[in-house]
Amino acid sequence: MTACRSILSVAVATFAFLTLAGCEAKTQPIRYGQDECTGCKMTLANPRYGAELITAKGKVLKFDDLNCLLTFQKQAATTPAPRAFIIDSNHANIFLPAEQTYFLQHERLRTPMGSHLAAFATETELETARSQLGGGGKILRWADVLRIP
Amino acid sequence: MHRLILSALICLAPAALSAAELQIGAGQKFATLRSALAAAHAGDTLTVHGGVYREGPLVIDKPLTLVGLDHPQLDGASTDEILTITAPHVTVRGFDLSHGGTGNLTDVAGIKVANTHHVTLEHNRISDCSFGIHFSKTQDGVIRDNEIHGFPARAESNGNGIHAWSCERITIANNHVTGHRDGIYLEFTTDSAIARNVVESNLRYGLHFMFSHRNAYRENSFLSNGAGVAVMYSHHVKMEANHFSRSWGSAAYGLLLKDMDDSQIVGNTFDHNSTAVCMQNSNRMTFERNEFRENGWALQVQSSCTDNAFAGNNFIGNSFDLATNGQLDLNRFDNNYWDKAESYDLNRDGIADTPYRPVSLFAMLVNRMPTAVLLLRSPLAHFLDQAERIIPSLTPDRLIDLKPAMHPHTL
Repeated sequence: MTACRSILSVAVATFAFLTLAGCEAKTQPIRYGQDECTGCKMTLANPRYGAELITAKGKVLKFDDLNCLLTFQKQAATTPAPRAFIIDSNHANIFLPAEQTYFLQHERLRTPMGSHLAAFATETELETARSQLGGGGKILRWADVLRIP
Repeated sequence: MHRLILSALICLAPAALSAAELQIGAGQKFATLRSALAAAHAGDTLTVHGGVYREGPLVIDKPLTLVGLDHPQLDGASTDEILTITAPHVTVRGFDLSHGGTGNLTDVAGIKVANTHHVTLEHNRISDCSFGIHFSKTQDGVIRDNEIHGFPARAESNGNGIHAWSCERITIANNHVTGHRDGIYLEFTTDSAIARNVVESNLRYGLHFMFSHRNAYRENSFLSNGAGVAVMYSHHVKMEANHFSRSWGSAAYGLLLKDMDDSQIVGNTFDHNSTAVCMQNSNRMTFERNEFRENGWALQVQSSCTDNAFAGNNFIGNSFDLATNGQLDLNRFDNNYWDKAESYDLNRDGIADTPYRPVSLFAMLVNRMPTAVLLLRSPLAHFLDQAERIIPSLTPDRLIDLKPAMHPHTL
C-alpha cells in the first residue's frame, strides 16, 4: 500500500514537473515568406524584424512589426500578460526577451508596418546601427516602447 | 506681350543651344560614365555605348537624358547603389544594371530616385539588386518597359522590385518583375496608374500597397507570388481587368483587402488561388463582373465588412463560394452566377426562380474547424449542405442572392 502510494506520488510529481516544464516560454523560429502576422495578416518577409508573444498557456503568436504586437496586446488585454520576444535586427531568427532589448527608434528604419523600431542585444550594437543611419533617432527600453501611443 | 515672348526666348536660347550629346564608351570621347556625368551640363544627352561599366555608385544630380546603345552593363560589384537620381527631368533608357549592394538597415536599390520630379526610367533590365527601382518623395515619375529580376538564392535579403514611398502621380506600366520580396510596393503613394505589368514568383506579394489612395490598377497579371496580393489602409482605389492567379498556401490570397474603403474591383479574373479574395474591415467596396474560377474559397468576407456590393460576378468551380464568421447583413449580393445554385427558370428570363445562399453549412464548419476540410466531397458534407439549403438554420439567412443568374455572364 505504501509502495503503491509512493509510486503514485512519484507519478504525480513527474506529471506536474512535465506539465510545468511544458509551460516554459519557448519561441518558435519565424518562417519568413510563410508565416502570417497575427495583427496585420501580412506574411513576414523581412528577417530584420519580427516578434512573438507567448501566452500563459504557451501559445505562440507571431508579428511582423512591433506596432502590430502592441496593438494586439492592448486589445487582448489578457492577464497574466503574455511574454514578448523580439527578433534581433542584427541576427536573423535570434529572439531577445523584450525586457533585455535595446530599441532604436529612427525615421530611416523602414519596418514592415512603420513602427520605425529596430531591436539590439547591446547598446554598442545599437550605436553602430545608429551611426550607419547617420545618427539621430531615440533609444528606448521595453517600458518606453509599451508607452508608445 | 511680344516683349515677354522675346525675353522668354532669349532666356531659353542658351540652354537650347548648349544641349550637347556626349559619347561614352571604349574609343569615345569619355571612357567612363563618371567623367561624362561630371562634365555634362543640364539638358545634355549622354549616349552610352555597349560594354561593361564597373564604376561604383553613380549620382545624376542635373537634368540629363542617359541613353544606352546595345544595353551597356552597369555593374555594381555588389557594393552599393548603382544609380542614384536626385535631379528633376532625368531619363534613363536602355541599360542593364546588375549586382547591386545589400542594405544593412537602409534600402539599397539598382536605381534610387529621391526627392525630385519628372523622372523616366524605361527599357532597362535590372537583375540581382536588393531593391530594383526605389522611388521616394518624388512626383510625376514614369517606370515602364523594365525587366526586373531579383536574385533567388538570397530571396530573404531581397527588397522590392518596384518600390514607391511618399510619391504622387507615378506611372508604372509594362514592367516584368520576378524574384523580389514584393513585386510592386507602394506606401503613401497617391494618384498613380499601374497598368499591364506582369508580376510573378516573388517571395511575398505580387502587389502590395498601404496608405495609397486614388490609384488605378489595370490589366496587370499577378501570378504565383508567395502570398498573392495584399492591399491595405487605402480608399478610392480602382482595380480593373487584372488577373490574380496561383496563390497557394494557408496565408496566401489572390487579393487580401484589409481596411480598404470606397473602391471598385471590376472585371478581374481570379483563378487557382487558395482564397481568391479575403476581406477584413473593408467598407463600401464594389465587386462587379469579376470571374472567380477554381479557387479554394472564392470569397472570405469577415463580419467587420459592411455596405459592400457583389453584382454580376461569375462563381465557377470553386470549392467554396463564400465563407464568413458573421451575418454579413449589410452586404448585398445581386444577380451573380453561382454554378452551385442548381435552380430552374420557368419564365425563361435568365434569372433563377429560387434565391441562392452562397454560404454553405460545410463552409461554416470548415471556417471554425479547418481540419474538417478532409470531409470535402464526402456524402455526409453533401447531405448536410442539401438539408441546410432547404431549411436554413445555421447559415446567415439574410445573406442571399435573390436574383441569381441562370447562365454565366459574358465578361
